[in-house]
Parts: sequence; C-alpha cells; structure tokens
Amino acid sequence: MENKDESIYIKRILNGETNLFSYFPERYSRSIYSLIIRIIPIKEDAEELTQDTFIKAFRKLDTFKADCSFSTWLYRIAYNTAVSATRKKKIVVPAFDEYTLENIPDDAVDSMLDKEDDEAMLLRLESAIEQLNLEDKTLITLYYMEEKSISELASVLGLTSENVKVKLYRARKKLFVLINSKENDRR
Amino acid sequence: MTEDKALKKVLKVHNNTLLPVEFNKVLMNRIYIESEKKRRRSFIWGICLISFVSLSLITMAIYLLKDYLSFNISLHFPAFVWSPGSESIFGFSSYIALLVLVLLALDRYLRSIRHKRIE
Repeated sequence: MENKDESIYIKRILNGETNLFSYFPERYSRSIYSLIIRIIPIKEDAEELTQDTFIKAFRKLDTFKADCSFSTWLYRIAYNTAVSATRKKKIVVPAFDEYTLENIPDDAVDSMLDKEDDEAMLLRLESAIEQLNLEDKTLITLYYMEEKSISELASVLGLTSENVKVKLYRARKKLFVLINSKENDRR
Repeated sequence: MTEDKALKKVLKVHNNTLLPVEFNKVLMNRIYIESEKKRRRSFIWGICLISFVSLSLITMAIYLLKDYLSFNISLHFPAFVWSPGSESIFGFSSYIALLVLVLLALDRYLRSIRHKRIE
C-alpha cells in the first residue's frame, strides 16, 4: 500500500473507524519488534514495548503530518520508547579510541563485513552488534535489515543526513574493532 | 560502503524471532480500549467547553442587565416583590433546582453503568 493510501486510512481512523488501525500492526509489528528487540534484548519487554509503540501512535495519530512516511514516524516512536525504557537500566558500552578508529583502513572493514560464509565471524559479529550503543544499533538495524534510506534514518533519529552517514561509517569501524578484539582474546 | 553481506545475514537471522500469534489481536483490544477512553475524554472536554461558554454568556448577560441596561425587575414584573424574606425562598428554590439537576445527572450515570453491565 502506498503512503497516500495510508493517509486515507489515517483520516478514516481519526473519523472513528478504529478497526482500520489493525492494518498498521499487521504490516509493521514485526519490523518494529525487530528494532526494539535489538535495543532491548528481552523478549517479553520487547513485546510490551512494541505494543506501547502502537498505542502511542494511535493516541498521537492526529499529530502525524505527512512530511515523512508513516513507517518512519512509527520507527521514531519505537526508538524513543525503547530508549526511554533503557534509561531505567544502566547499560555499559565499550569506549572506543578515536585515533584507533580513524586509522582502521576502509578496505579491511569492507572485506571483513563481506565474509558472509564465515560462521565463526558471523557469531562474533552478532555479539559485536550487541555491544554497540543504542543509536548505532538502531542505525545498523534500520539501514541493513529494514533497508531504510539515509534521509529516513535521519528523520527517525533526529539527525542530519551527513551525521547519519558519519555515524554509520564509524559504527562499521567499531564492529571491526570489537570483532578483532574478540579474536585476539581467543588467541 | 560495500554491500556488507555479513551484516545483512546476521541481522536477517535475528529477524526470524516471531511475535506471538495472538499479538495483533491483543494489541487491537488495547487499541479499542484506548479509543473508548479517547472518545470519553473528548466528550468530557466538550461538556466542559459548553459549560464554560454557557456560564460566560450567563455572566455577561447578568452584567449587561445590571450595569448597562439599568434593568429594574419590579418595573417589568410588578407582581414580583423583592423583600428580605423572599431572598431565603429564592435561595431555597435554587438549591432544590440544583439538587434535582444533580440527581438527574446521577440517575443518568447509574443507568449507563447498569446498561453497560447488562451488555
């Protein structure tokens, strides 16, 4: 369904046809859940927060402006809901040395992140993603899994497109550092 | 940036985590409750707004009658005699009228609750 059709649905929901709202969870609940479980890796909490996201969206539906797609708006709510939930918990993320990040060759990162058949590396990559900060996890999930554009990511996170590009670039380098540190630990 | 196939593969595997079958049904039930709350909230706001506007209009009318039009009730209604004794009767009548209105509202409210329970 196109964005235009979704706008028509939204108008009808605001006019009292609440049952039409079921279209949105049917279409987006899985993607929203995938993003939230990446930020909050507890199944029950992630399910609850996914529900909260849709309820918040329903409450604020009249404030939705068609300046972005409905899915982008929904991801923004999901991200803010998940971030608010993590504020109660103390999350420790590894610190990265700026100098180290700057001196990692791009080719090395590119070749490592293209090794899709190396199972051991994929496991380390999975573990490395878990260690990234919330913003980086969100960027990686939405960009690679949901295939969102840079401008959509900027809208979800409230950043500029340039900023998103820089953060994505740095997130890949952070993954490289984390994977290599694990490899060194094993040796 | 290259295709980053490894990243895509890892995220795809994680994406296989499914939501419970009843998830959307439970969510829609919560949405219907929320919709009812929203409707009730807007109804209360509407009542408050109407009450506020009505009271403002009544206050304005009284103010105009009293100060601008020098309205003398005894000239228009000669049978209406205002005396210190009648003040308490008017007060009592107003109290009874207000009480009747409150009881009528309470009756309507209790009836609606009973009606919902039967449904």
